Amino acid sequence: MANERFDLVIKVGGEGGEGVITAGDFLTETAARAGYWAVNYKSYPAEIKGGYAQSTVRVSSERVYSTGDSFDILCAFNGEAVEKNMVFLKRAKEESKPKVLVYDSTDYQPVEELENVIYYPVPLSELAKDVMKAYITKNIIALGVLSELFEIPEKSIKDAIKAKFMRKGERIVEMNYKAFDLGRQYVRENLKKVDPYKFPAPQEPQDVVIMEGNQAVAKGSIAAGVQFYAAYPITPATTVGNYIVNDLIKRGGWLYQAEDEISSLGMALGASFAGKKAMTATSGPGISLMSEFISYAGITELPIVIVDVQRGGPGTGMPTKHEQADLFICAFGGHGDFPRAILAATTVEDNFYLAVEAFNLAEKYQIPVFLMTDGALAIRSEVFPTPKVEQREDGKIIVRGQIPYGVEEIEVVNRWIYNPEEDKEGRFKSPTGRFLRYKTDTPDGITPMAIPGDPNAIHAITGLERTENTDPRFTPEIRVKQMNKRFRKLQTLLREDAARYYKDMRIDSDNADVAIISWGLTASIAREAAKRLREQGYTVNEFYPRLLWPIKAEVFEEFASKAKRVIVPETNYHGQLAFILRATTNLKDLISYVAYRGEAFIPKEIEDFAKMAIEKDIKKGWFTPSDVYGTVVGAI
Amino acid sequence: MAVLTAKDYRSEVEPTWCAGCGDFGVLNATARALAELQKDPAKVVGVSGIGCSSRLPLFLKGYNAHTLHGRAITFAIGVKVARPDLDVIVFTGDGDMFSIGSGHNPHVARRNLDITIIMMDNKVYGLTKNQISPTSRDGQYGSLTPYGNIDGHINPIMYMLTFGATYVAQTYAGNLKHMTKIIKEAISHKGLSFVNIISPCPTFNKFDSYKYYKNHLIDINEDLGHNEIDNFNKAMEMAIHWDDNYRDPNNTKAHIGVYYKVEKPTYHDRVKEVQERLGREDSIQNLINVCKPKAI
Ligand SMILES: Cc1ncc(C[n+]2csc(CCOP(=O)(O)OP(=O)(O)O)c2C)c(N)n1
Ligand code: SF4
Ligand SMILES: [Mg+2]
Repeated sequence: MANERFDLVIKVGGEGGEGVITAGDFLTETAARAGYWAVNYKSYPAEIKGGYAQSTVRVSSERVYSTGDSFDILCAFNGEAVEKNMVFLKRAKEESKPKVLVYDSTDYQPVEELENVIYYPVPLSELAKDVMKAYITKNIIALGVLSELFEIPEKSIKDAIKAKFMRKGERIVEMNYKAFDLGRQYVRENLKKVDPYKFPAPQEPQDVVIMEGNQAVAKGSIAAGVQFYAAYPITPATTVGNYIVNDLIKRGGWLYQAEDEISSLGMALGASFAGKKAMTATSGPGISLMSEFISYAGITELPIVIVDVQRGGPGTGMPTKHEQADLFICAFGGHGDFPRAILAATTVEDNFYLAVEAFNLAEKYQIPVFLMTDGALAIRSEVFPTPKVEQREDGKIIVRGQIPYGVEEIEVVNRWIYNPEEDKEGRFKSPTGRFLRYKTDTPDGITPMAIPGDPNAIHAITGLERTENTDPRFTPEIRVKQMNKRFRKLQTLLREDAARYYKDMRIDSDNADVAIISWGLTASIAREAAKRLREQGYTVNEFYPRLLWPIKAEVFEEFASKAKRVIVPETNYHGQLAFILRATTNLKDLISYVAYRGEAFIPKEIEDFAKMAIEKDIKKGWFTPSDVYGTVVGAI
Repeated sequence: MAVLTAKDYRSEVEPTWCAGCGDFGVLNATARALAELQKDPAKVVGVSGIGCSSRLPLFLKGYNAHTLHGRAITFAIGVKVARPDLDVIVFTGDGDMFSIGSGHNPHVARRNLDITIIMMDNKVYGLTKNQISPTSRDGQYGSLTPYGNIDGHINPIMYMLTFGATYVAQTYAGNLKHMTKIIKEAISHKGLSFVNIISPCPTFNKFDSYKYYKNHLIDINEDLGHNEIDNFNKAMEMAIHWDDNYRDPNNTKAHIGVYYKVEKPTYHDRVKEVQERLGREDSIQNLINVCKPKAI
């Protein structure tokens, strides 16, 4: 069976607090235990208690990066979940495969039979209340139902249940097994399977981890050697801190809950100045508050990692919704001109490795580095190959794994610390013996730092323009030299490091029908659209850069030259990446394809637009899914 | 190590203050205090915001940081938490600390971070050329309040006591000896110490002059017998008393002396407890492997 291709999307929906999310997590873990890959896209209600929650789990025999266009199977824990998904169910009649609706018949009765929808009523609530005498077992009964109906490997799912409840004792495990078996039994006694969906037999499980997006940021930062994390709670970034706090303490570091985001970044910069790798994570409003300190980090040349888990803006915007509209503020926020770098993750797995890379760039170039993710990535979980971290005797740390953007390994970088032994000729000392923290004549613009405690390199830092030995001074000559020094670091970055983040590029043809450049979560969705277009005979070039600032123009220009049109799908209004590319490259004819409704694209929307662009010979402009479908759509 | 003198704590940068600025005195007293304590200049970190007063750490030798207006405390906390072995001193002004940066004061104090805050109180915004500050007197003229201050003022001593500072004192830039003694005590204090220094700005605040203070100072410990300095209520009473005086400057006197001093566990003491409780994990791989499906 190992070669049989398998790809199934199961969505569980219902009231938040009814175990909907847990059920999705169980399915994800079951997939991992049965030797398959899984991506689990979750959404929690915006309310603290109650409200609609859902978990969409795509299980596959191949790595997949999106949860697809829609579900194959919907397990609805209440009537609301059916209603919320009615658009998808109604669309089943246009699709080749049927959709399956497993629903809680205690709460819901279908009013009409939809075409190409298969109904499996199960009185989930009644079974939980009357048979199990424990309403909380409803989600486990549902898992039993799904397991029996779709041959989800019983052992894998039971192991997942046991792993979760082991801590609570044998009795609790037994109760959940009983609930699970009850679900299975109900199906055997009451339902006849008429749908085509089934899990293949389990395979030998691979060496994998299951992580949520924010957890991957936390783990990657730990691998990079972060020692200080300053936090101020904000959806959807808070859980980076939740995930990192204990690990950080066990690694000798500390998480400080600040009084606001201005403080978070101030504290993190203080820790960086004191010699430690430091970070903070926030979302749009927090980045706005941090702007002044971002600029300060730029002029003082302090290494710092700022994670922006984007949410829907502007203002308080849509805190629980997906959007990628902070590229402008990350690239341009903060007053004055200063160098910085932006990395953006397309998947949970990316989050892990790019967190390491963000620290590397920050420490090497002594600049603020943004790691951009978003709210959907934050809570999505993925099964991916276990990253390997080698801590060598000599202190070197090497991170390996199936690094998604195509690099072999990442060696953890530590900042250049001044060592008088290496500076016998006094290159970094003034004639009077003062430390030249900001010497302007190094070829790469990078100069050694010194950390408090070292008597050889005592110096002060200031946000004022300053001389090589950090005294405030604003003469035109000093100003120009210092500016050039700081920006030379970005030129070095483009020369020495940018290529690492430009490897996720695929060229089908030198004159492709369409080329796609995308970033963040949208890239992982565009990838699937590209695959489908290719299956339909189109030639498609793809480029998913992980480095969004600075921009190496020639790489983008060359990529674009090999296609008839370039589409840049992203979820913000301006088409922010396309906007930046038009400004920094000679590419003026880019097609912005944007959605700003608070939800991610689905692959079909990008696929359909690409076909429209090809048919109508569109070469530039600004489009939304409404231009394709004639109406504002949710996830269509 | 050779014995260091006050001069050894001064950097090569020459102060840019106006002649007669009170901040010169604060700089001298700080250098003296550090010399008397024989602190290692490489392990003293002075952190400041923006203002005339906030320039001070640039004139001291050390790993000092001149940061953003109002944000010195945040940066200082990062330094101290990352490196508890360093002596961290915040140098700030009345505008820097109690206007733009006032949101940070409760939090640094309640956590009892082992940091010293030295505020140069000239009751005016000096660097931006004469605007009223949160400690300005009633009726004081500022460039944006040409009609005379109607905004009311705050009492920094009362605030810092309320927020939980464990050492609170006031001194005067014209009294080098008293200042040096207080700064020394504050640096040596384990926990959050706050020193308010009355520091005349002869350029913009003509009222709070050396001449005025010559006859309008009183030592609360020596002259008013405030000796129960571990008694919070008494310290508060003293602070209120000063505030009353402040309202009628011609008939009353401003305080110098120690209001309050108690020993309490510092933030770092508690951090250490937590670190010991949680233990250490040497293997990064182990921390990643917890994300694998659990072995059954
Ligand atoms: C964000 C920001 N806003 C405004 C300023 C301008 N500014 C510089 S110093 C200062 C007031 C300083 O007053 P104080 O702290 O009392 O210092 P002093 O000059 O009186 O010693 C202001 C408003 C600034 N540097 N940064
Ligand atoms: S303006 Fe006032 S505070 Fe500033 S340096 Fe001059 S005297 Fe000192
Ligand atoms: Mg002032």
